Amino acid sequence: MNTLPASSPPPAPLALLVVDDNPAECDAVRRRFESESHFRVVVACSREEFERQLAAECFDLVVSELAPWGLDELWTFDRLDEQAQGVPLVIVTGRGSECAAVAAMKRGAADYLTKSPGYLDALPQRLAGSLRIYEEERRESRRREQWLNQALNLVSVVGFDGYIKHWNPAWEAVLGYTQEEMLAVPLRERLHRDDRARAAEFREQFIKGKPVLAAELRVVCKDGSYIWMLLNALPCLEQQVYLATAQDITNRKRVEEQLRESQERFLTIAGATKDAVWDWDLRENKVWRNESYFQLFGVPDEDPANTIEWWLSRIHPDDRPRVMAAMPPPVVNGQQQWILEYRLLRADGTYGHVFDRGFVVFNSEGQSVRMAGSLMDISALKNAEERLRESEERFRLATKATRDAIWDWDLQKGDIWRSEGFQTLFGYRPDEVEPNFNWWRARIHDDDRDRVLADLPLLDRSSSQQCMFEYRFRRADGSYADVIDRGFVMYDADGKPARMIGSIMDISERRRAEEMAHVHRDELAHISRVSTMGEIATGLAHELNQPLTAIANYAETCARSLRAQHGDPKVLDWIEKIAANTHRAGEIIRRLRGFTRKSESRRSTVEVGELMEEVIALLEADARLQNVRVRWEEPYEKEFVTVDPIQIQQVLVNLLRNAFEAMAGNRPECRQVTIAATADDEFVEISVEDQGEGIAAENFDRVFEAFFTNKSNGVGIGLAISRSIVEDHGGRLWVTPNPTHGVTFRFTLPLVGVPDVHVTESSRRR
Amino acid sequence: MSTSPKVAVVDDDEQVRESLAALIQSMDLEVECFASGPDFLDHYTHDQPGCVVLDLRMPQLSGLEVVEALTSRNIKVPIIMISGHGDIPAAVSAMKAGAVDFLEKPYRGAALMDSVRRAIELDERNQKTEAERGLLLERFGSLTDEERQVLELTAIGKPDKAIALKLDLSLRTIQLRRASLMRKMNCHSRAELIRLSETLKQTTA
Repeated sequence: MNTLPASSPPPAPLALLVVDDNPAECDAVRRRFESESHFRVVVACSREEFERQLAAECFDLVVSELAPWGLDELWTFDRLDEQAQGVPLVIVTGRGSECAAVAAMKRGAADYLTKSPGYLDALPQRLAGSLRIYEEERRESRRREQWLNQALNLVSVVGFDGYIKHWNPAWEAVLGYTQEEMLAVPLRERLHRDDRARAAEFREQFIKGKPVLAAELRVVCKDGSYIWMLLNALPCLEQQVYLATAQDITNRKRVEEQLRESQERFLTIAGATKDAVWDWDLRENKVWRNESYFQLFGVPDEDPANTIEWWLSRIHPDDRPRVMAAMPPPVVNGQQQWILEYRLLRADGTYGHVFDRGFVVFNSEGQSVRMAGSLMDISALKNAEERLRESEERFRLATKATRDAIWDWDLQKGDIWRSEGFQTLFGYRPDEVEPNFNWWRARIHDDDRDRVLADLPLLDRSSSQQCMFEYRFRRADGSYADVIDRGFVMYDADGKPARMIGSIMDISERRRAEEMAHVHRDELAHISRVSTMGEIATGLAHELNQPLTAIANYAETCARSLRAQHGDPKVLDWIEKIAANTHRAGEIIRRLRGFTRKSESRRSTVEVGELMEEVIALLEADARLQNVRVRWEEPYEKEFVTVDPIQIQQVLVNLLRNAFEAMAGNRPECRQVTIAATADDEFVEISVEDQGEGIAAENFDRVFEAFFTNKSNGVGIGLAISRSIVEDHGGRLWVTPNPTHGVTFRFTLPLVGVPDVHVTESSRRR
Repeated sequence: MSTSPKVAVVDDDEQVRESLAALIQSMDLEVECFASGPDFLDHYTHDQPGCVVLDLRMPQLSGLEVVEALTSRNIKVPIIMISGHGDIPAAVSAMKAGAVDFLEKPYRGAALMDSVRRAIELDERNQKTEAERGLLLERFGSLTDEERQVLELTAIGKPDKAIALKLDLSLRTIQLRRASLMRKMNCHSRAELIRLSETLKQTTA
């Protein structure tokens, strides 16, 4: 591979002094380092030589026997300290022992090697390792070699005589020949018969020193098949060879082939059809249109234009904005179809209603690159539809305006017409809705059916004109919707019932909301109960653990003192039992706390406003009952927090109920609670401001203590729990007096970045 | 510096404080009691080996805040945290703040005594290292600027040639300078020199 670029010039070699009393060993080391350009080796076989070299030169590294010339084991260290302090010393010895190695390392050796067979091979690298160089170089050249071997491209050096000189393993993998087979014949013999003439042309070029770039050739494989290759080759006249790299492009060639075939097929079909066909290249912004297109919508005696602007200019001015709005085709996958109806100027100068259906072609990155489609003139169809639509429009609008499902029952014929509402509310496709009584009857819940049918109005004058039922109605998916069905009977001139018209209202949502609120309230109450217990247990634990600790400490001290004085063993035994029982008490408390703490908090990311509105809704009844107005000042932007919503709502409920109670003595018009949320970069601060009697100055800190209360009927645990919940969420809860009346409780919660889900949801809403 | 160890007890509960003092005195150790975090911070001096037994939950300053205050005053004394309110997060943050142990009240006497003993040993070791560092700093102070340059370059593993090139001096000068600085630092090998300079870096950092 002499064509590969040379590495950068090597750094100046490092001076290496080798000390060994065996001349043969010295020689071997010197020979080993001959090929290593990073080192310059000086050997010292005798003590005199060593001294002379040491005086003559400054070495970068000394390699020494442990105890040369029968001297003391650490002699070399001492000599170096005197003569060349700080020069790294590597010990290489034939008689190593663990003890000696440890001593040498402690004495400051840079490395310690034993002369095991083959140690010389590794020596340069080992030394370089001590000096932290060289290795990087080696790695680089190894990487280069590896890269060449693993390269997927075929790389080879070919002589001007046509024979391959060098090649990388990729050749074998791609073509299947063994090395011998490949080297046996000129490369030309391996080319496809039709391409051999070109190979001869390439040779002419090489001789003139010109490269061959991006030539596409077929090479015959060992199994007789051929593959397409993209060839680049660079001649080197001096050595009469060329360096060739080749890439397997068979797949690409095959795809190109198929593409050409399908293109031809498309053009044939497009030419034959009567429909106007178009194909818009979005990147080039060029439009191709077939013959029929120009016959139908073109301009006679004018060159067909291939721009999209030409088409836009021919759209009816009233439709153009709508068409243009739908124009940048969707960029996302999925919605590949593009369907529009609009008016387009015909070749005869009139406007025709066209139905334009296109589909979008995406590239692998999901960008739209092309649109193709066809136009159909549907003017005739359109006119009929227009008239029909006008007559139905009004009624449709009416039924659409209501969210209910409308029905119209012809009592004489028995037919029932049903509105679209049955589809939107209950999921029935129009073809699933049967225009008869039994269809409806069958979809009433079994438990409700008899009651509803029994209540159907007797169809004569005597009965009420109106009726109303609540029942469960089966949806298309088999689930049941809670509905209210109202009907109205109409009579003909003879007083016979002729028609009954009604509407079905889906109240499932409302029902579920009611149930949810109920469950929510239960949950809050439960959590409140559990955490009250937990807080009591925690408070109790702290109170009790203090005296227990003192008892345990004293018991232990007594025991030690008795033991030291050899006191009465019976008394010692009792005292040890006191200590043991103290720990038992401690354990019991610990278990109690562990038990009440089991209710884990479940955190999720929620919007502060939503959290607040739910609480306000929850307390609406309380507020009304106590004549309190609740004012909610929303933050400027949506703020998100990651919390256990139930727990935080519990805090809010606590604060609001306290506020309500604090104002119980006020005149009704002076009962207002203001809740506000403000945010800075890190926290949202929620404040609850009342107009109540306030808190005595000395109690401002105490209100958060457990078992402290102003209320005759309270446990005094609500604010303590609230504070521990808020602190548990990484926030703070405190209270400040208002300038005029009452107090404001405030708490903070750490903000989180706006979560992705919410971004998409809210942007969709906008 | 006196060498007899002393244990500081910080707890707001008088009974706990006094009983704890009695227990530690029975180990033949000197005890000093403090009723609050501020009281402790105002009067404590770390002038003899010892440790601090610190209650986690106290009014005014919590145990964690006391540890923070000690850290900011660069007082490195082993701290054993005790708490009647023990929970995992509290224990974790106490250990993160630098406590050497965390015991939940009521603890076993043996566990506390064991912990106190180990903390005192640790403190004695720390003070010894500290003293060594002091000596090292003193020696470092006696170096000339030129010798310091050579020390720094040697410590990062530069070969002499590179040092000579960088300082624009002859190799011989470099080697003489290092010989002199190694003598002053009382150091016998290049490896030891690198170790010493690491210790110095930690001290000055």
